[in-house]
Amino acid sequence: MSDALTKYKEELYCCTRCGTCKYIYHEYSDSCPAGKKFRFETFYPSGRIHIARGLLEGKLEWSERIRDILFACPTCGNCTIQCQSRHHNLIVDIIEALRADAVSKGIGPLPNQKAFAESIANEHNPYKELHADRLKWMERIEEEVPQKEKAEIFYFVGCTSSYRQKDLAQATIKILNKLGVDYTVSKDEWCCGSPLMRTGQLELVNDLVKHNLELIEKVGAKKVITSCAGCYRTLKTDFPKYAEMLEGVEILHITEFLQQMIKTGKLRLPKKFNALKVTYHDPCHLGRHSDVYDAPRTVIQAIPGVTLIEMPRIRENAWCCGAGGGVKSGFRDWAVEISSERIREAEETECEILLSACPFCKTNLQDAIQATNSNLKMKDIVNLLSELL
Amino acid sequence: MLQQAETHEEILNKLRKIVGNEWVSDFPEELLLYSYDMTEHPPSNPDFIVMPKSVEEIIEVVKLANEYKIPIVPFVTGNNIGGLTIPLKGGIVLDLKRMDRILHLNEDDMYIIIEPGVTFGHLKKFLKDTNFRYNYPNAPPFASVMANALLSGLNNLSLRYGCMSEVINGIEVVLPTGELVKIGTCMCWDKHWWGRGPQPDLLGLFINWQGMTGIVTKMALQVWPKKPFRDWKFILSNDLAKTYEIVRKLARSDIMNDILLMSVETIKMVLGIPYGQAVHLEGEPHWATTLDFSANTKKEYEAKWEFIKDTFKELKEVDPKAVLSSVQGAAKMYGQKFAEFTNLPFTIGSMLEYGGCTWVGTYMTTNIDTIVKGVKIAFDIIEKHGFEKCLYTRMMKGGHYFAFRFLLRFSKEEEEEVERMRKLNKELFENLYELGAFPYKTPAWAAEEIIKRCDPNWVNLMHKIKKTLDPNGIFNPGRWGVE
Amino acid sequence: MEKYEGPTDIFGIAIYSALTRKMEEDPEYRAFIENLNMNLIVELDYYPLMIKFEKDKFTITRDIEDPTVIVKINTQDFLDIVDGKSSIIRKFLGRKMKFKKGITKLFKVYKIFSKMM
Repeated sequence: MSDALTKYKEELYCCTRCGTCKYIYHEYSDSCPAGKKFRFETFYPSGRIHIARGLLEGKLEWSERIRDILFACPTCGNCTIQCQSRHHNLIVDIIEALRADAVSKGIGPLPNQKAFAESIANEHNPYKELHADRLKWMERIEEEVPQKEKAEIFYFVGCTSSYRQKDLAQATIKILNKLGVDYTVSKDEWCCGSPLMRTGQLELVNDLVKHNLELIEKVGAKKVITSCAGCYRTLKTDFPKYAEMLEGVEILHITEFLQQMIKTGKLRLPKKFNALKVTYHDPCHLGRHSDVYDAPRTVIQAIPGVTLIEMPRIRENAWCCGAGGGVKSGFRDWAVEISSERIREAEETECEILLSACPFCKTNLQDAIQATNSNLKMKDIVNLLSELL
Repeated sequence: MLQQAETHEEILNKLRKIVGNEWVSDFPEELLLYSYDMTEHPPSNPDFIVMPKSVEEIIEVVKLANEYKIPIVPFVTGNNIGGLTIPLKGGIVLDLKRMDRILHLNEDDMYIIIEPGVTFGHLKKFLKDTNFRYNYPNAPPFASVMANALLSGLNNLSLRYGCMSEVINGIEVVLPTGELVKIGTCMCWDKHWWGRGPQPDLLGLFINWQGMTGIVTKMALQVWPKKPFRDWKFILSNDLAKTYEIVRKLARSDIMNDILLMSVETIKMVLGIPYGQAVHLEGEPHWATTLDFSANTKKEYEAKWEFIKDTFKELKEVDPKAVLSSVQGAAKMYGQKFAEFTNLPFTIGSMLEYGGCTWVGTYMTTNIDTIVKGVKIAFDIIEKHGFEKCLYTRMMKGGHYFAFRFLLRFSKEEEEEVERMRKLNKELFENLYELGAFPYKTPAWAAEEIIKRCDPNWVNLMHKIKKTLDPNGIFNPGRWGVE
Repeated sequence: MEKYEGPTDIFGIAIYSALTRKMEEDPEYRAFIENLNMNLIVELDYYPLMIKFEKDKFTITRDIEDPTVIVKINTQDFLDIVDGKSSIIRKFLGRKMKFKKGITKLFKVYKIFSKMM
């Protein structure tokens, strides 16, 4: 019997497959991307739990198909909201634990996902980029980027902003500089481990957690700010599972930090947009996984000239962008199918701009905008806000 | 496996040609998941899961099944609590959830036409912005509306209209031999599904047959105008006979939408009291009754409310501690879980979070002495087997019959407990049957027991009909004693 | 996994659910409840209940011990207040809600129940 199946044995016997996880409770829209796509009972959250039961009872054997069913889940956690049973908040944990089992048995992860484990081992990022290039995003920008030995705030840039969406890091810097806060970035930052944790590749995780915590401790920061929802969830929710957290250190998503700055009147925006209508996509890692729904909305509503128009499925019930849980790397086309549904929903608001607060969401929603020939513009809240500075 | 490996591959390939590769599975994980449900019924593996999108595809699958003489079992969500989608003889499980369109709302004659995959949740969402309402079970929102109607389920307007098979206007059905037939007024006109009509009513060939005689692909169901005034009341009491007497009086008054009479243990389960702890404690009221009524005008509402209060006084005379409150008021204390009684369909999480859920659900006489005796006998049996006495009853069709059932949660982790539940249900069935209670959504084992006890000519007729409609015996075999 | 740790009797569940929920919603009410120190007995006609308020927590039990306050009220009168058909003050003034012990805690009892309902 594997570790995951032993650990969650009681929870596996909670589920009756009543189907409540499949749709938004009392609203009745689809909630599960994998279930909606593949439709067989096995692809719904309850189905995965019963697959685990089958494995536990010896009625099933691990196979590549079972691996695919488990890895086809974007771990968006919508099921954890809709399920009305006592095990509801552990459904994603169970799926991730099963993935770890698949990896330990040599069946998982998916081929593309193996590559980023190797890259993280060698270069501390999943993108096969050189670690030495981690701060290249700060080249050719006017803003000064501090690299101090000690600072009040540590800006944990994250691999995606460092290597793929440099404009997000640049916009964040612009805002932090404008606020005049005491912060730093570090060339010694390593991947937070999220891609590995989400895909069950746990071998390196302890080292990554330890290294990053030591780095934060060395800087003596009291606040760690991330502009990546994935890093945020990992630092805030997953790190404590692997190590003792640093006392007195607050982990904040940039929108939470900006919310504080707005409330204390420290963030002033001198310019304004001209009647700009925007809608907002809740990233799963920020919303359902971390319970941060109001901060991004507060920030959006504080931007002069901007009107927020909500989509039907928001906050706890938001439809996933499809990038999470390794789906973007494992099932590229399907990831865009999921985000295309979100784009259609966003289009119905008749807004010009779709905002989010996560670089993964931004990438995948941008891909869907192209795939569907949508006129929407995709932006991170931070990028939009920085345009006024 | 039913077939030799070569034949299996042959059938698999042909199924793929009919519905497309991605909508057929013979993977072990799917076969396992479709082999059992939440009940205590023993599992039985299918050979294939097939997910058609159209009537044409269903017809082709049925023809193929006839060619190879392999069983077909229709499935949407498998939440029937009778083990009815477990493929007793293997074969094809036809998962119909891709056929999920609400095709039409006829506002003149007040009906909807739906496909099998439409769930209660989706129907409620669809009707939200219309002037019409359907009615819903105290069950997870994602059960099939069509299956509920075909299996005579009971919903929250059943006091007015009876069980849900009574509100079917017509159907389109694929027969076991592959013909497509329309039943009801739609047999004459594509656009008129307003009733079963004055022609011979053939709908009975398909209701409660559990997929043994046809796969229904479209169904017209009645809907009703929404009323501007609606309210829910709540009674706690001790005296079963008197409580039941006023429940029956209110049912016969023709002013109520719905009346549920439940044991206090059921309320505790709804409120989230853990498995094994939903028991009656000394000094507590024994019975909880919810009353649902609506009105067209404020005056009508007040008149109905006056009648309810006067009727309650009769209970109070015999049972002085009895209390009458509003469901909304009680929900202020008990919270959202209790408020759900006003917002059906809903999931009773605590009923469904121990892996197993079952009942012997019956329709029976409304005779007071029989009901009181039934409760006593059933409670003794449940106690003997060590489960919770969660009784859930509903007055049906203006008080013409009574729904008498238990909501029994259990753990499926240990086979001993599952076996104990099987014994309990068998004993409950045997004792309640003697009192005139007939199990709806009849499990195969109960159907076999009924066949031993009922009119043999009825059994012969049923066999003849089945043989005529399904000469190869491929539609859900093993049900009602038909192999 | 979520675990229910409250009472299992039908009226105890009601009071426990309402108190817990209100404390989650209203930090001021939470602070008030967490600072109470008394054994409040609610004598319903079905059976009496004790709400034991201690530092930072409360428990509801049917085992009565060392009552600080005893309030006697019929279940129907209690439900009438919950339903909004009557009020604590009206029931008190109409002698439908009686203090058998601890009348000095009247305002605290009033605050416990009026906010809870």
